[in-house]
Amino acid sequence: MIQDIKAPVSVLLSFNHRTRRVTPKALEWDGKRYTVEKVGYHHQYKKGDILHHVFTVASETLSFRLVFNTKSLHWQLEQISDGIPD
Amino acid sequence: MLNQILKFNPKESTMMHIDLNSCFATIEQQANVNLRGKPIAVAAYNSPKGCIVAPSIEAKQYGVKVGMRVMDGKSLCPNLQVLEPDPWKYRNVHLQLRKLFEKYTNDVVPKSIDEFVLNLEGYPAYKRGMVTVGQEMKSRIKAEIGDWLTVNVGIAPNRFLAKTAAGLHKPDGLDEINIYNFEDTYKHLELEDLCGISRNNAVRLNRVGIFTVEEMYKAELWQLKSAFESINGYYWYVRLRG
Repeated sequence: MIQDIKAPVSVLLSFNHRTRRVTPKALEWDGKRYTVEKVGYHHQYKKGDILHHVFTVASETLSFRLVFNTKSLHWQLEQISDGIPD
Repeated sequence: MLNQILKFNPKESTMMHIDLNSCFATIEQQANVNLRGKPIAVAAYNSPKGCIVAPSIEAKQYGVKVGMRVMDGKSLCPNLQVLEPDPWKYRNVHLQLRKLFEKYTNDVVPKSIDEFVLNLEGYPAYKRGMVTVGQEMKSRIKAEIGDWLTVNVGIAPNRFLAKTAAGLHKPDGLDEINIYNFEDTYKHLELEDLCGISRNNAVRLNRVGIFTVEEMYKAELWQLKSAFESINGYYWYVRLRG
């Protein structure tokens, strides 16, 4: 099931200066901490003049769509999914 | 007269056609790990009458096709998961693919969001062999863009045959049509497998006694001209000859 959320979320991010890669490592939402097992895809888009980075990541059981607003430097959880049909 | 002169193009294959399999659906599966290996479809709207624009490879096995309504797709495949399109994501993949292909040749023509035509003639990559380069591109796409993304690669002396070659083994194929194998390839194709031959064009060809691609290749120029009643007859004549 895919569910739209649009809620603030805490994200732990790492940057490797050698590979120049940014990787979300963990997130905390609704009182629970999820470790990121895999980053599915990272892309970006512009809304007005604000650049947003989108990371679609997976924990052991769930997938999360995390959006980083480069103006406010805030993270938002936009969507969660468990892969099970509705 | 032209028929006697014009044999199949003996030139080495220099054109490469690359298309991403089930583009939008595969990209969604790339992003969302939980959707991989499952029947999904990207639809204009996630409502019963929404139009399916891209079923995944798994959904296609259930008979879900582009243009179907969501309700029809779900009746064929009750487990079908429907997603709304995310154009920015697809555009990002397109730009990443384009950037990768431009490392091999400057002559990259995007034909659509998921199709590219590359001309490698005269570029250093060409000397390594088209098939080798095609395989390398496939593995670099997996390593650098997304491990779930698969592409079909078609290689031929012209871009039309390169596209035809790309459609021979879906998904994740790599095929070449050249002077050595074109006759055998044509034997296994139907008229409507050729890009540009729809049912109506097939009927036009049937009217002049052409029922197979092999017959279309062997047909004389006047036959194709009379079938299409336009310059298209000549275009098809030369296309099939590389």
